[in-house]
Amino acid sequence: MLLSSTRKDWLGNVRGDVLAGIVVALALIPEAIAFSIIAGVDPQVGLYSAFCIPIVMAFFGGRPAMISSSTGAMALLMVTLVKDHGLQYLLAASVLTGIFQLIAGYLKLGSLMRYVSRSVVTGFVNALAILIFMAQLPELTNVTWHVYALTAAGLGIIYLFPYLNKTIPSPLVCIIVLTAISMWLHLDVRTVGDMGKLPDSLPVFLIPDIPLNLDTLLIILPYSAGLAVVGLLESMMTATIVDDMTDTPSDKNRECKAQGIANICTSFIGGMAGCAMIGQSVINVKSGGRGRLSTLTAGVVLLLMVVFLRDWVSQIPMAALVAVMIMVSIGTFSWRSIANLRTHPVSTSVVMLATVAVVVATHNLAFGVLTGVLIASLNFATKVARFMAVSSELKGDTRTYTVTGQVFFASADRFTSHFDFREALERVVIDVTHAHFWDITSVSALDRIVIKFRREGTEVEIRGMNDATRTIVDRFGVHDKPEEVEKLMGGH
Amino acid sequence: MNNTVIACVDGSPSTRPVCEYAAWAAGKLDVPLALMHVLEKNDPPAVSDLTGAIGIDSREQLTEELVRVEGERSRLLMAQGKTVLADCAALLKQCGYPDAQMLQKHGALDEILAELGDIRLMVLGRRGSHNPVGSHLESVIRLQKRPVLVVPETFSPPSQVMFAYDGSEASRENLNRMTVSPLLNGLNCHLIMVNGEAETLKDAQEILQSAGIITEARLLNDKSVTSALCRYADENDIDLTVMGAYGHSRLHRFFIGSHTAEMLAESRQPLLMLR
Repeated sequence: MLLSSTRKDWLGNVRGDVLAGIVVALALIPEAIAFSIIAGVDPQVGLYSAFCIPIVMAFFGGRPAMISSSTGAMALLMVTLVKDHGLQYLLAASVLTGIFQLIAGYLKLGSLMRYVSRSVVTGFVNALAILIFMAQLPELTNVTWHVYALTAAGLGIIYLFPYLNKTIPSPLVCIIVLTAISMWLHLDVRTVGDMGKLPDSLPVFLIPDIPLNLDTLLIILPYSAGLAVVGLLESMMTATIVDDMTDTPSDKNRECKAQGIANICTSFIGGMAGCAMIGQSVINVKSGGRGRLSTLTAGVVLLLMVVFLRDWVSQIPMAALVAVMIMVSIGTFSWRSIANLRTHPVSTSVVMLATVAVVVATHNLAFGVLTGVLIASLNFATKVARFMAVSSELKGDTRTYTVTGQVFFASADRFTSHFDFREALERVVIDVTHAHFWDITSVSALDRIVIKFRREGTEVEIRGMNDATRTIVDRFGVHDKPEEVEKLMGGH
Repeated sequence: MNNTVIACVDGSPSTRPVCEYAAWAAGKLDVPLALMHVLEKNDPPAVSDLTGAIGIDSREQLTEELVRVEGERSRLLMAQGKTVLADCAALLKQCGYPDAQMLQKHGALDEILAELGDIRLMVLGRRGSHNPVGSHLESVIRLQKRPVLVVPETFSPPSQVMFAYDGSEASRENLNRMTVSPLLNGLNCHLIMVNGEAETLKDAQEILQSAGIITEARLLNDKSVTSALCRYADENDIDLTVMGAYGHSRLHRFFIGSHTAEMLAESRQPLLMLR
């Protein structure tokens, strides 16, 4: 299952896939270097995973044409681990991340994505774009005017060059031109070579050099758990985006497993954990990539370029990478969501904005998504709670309360407030034929109402419990079990 | 779609024989007939822009453009398919099938056929639009649990049938299935085995004879199973070959090759593939 693919997956679109793969590989180099720098490791680490992950994903992935690699979302979570414990612990944490993701795939946790609403996805994407942009700021502070000029020129080339020529990737042109200028003018600007070690050979298999004991596990466990969650979240969201763009389905659980396998593989050749990338996947689809071949090409081309063009890669000024990364962040951000703030309901906008705010504050996308999902669920509960009404009618000495709609934790208080206990009555009928009791809170609310009426000397009859309501009341209710009533009233 | 003969048409030169063979089979089996046209998305992507730059709302703009271009393309293909289906229905009317069902679906042919469930027989043209043997055929046949009739570009009503027998369990099973099927009623059956044992062949012949099928058994010896079968078919005016299909995995096929693939490439008669 994990390796199954059709001929069409691989060879259905050879020309488009190969061209798109090359375009993606060119755009992956600056990203991989930039994200390694964010994580605080040598560019080599990001570059190794930037070629290893796409190659593994080409074979195992559940979403053809989606690009996975080392990403900013993951890199941000690694910062403290690398700072405190070093690269070897990062590699070990990457292995564990992969194992967690593999397990998640087998437990079919990919389907949990249904709880992540559209506004949370938008918030995630926007937060990601902001994080990528913010990660560029250190390169733009306390520098000479040359850097600003180069970055501006780079952005100009990226967005204006396509008007001249649509067959050469403009980010590549930007990198080549800026490198040439800075070498020619001997500009004193930071280059990729200054940022750390670049790969000088093909990677080799290595086992992370760490003591295998409980202390190590306790150090890496929290990081791995966070990385696994963030990696899967971004991958699942990207998969949905690619599904929408290409109008083809994907296998989300297979994608989870594949992310795990890719992260395990990449850490054994000295790469950092990664996940799917929204920006690169959009570039791939836009360039005409649709099949597994596009991902494979991206990985292989990237490997060849990095290993054989190393001396040139080290000369690339950081300003050129910053320009490319600003492009990625602009392309990732959902600008339309800002315009939509005016038209969408406030509750969904709040979800989106809260997701963004939490991510920007914590630098952890998982917390943002959790907040978003929580607010969205509360919103939903509040809305459903409105679907509850109680009306009443007095006939002689009997009052009939008619309850309709959904009674659960969010509507239980309002439900109780509809009953008037001051009224001196012989008999009360509570008609719940058209109501549904969802949980223990609602059942105990009904219980309290019944008991309170009985205390006032009123006879209570509950009428027309539908079957679903009856099962919940039967399981949790106390009002028709005398000994339980005693317990409940014990404190009064 | 229970118990129906499905004719897969696409407007290529083999569309006409597909309809004719389907009509022949539906007549023999006395079951309803349906025409199927599938709109596949295997063209190169409608939008391809190698600039590699993404800007404000690139994602949304790309999606919108793809929806527009692909929608336009699909509308044209759908109309074209409807014409093909109407032409085929007219042809079937001439053959005496006025009420063939017409189906049009989006997706991959192999998956759609596999999802149809309990169909009786599917009829496909052998020739693809680019290759002498259609590129879909293998995946279509592999995914099915139902018989597939692969037909050449001309129709001739079958009268001499060749059953390719290899003595395997699957092959014997197929033989039993033939004895209960009305498809071969009244046809002359040649039971052919290549490089096997005479006794196995004799047992098989008895199965057919006890079912009342006129048979002629022949044991051939040749280095190549496929060329022996094809030569026999040409020499004896065979006009339908019945065989098991893709008994081995794709991996086996990759390293060792497959008789089914060779037969598809070399045989000039229609092939009834039993799964």
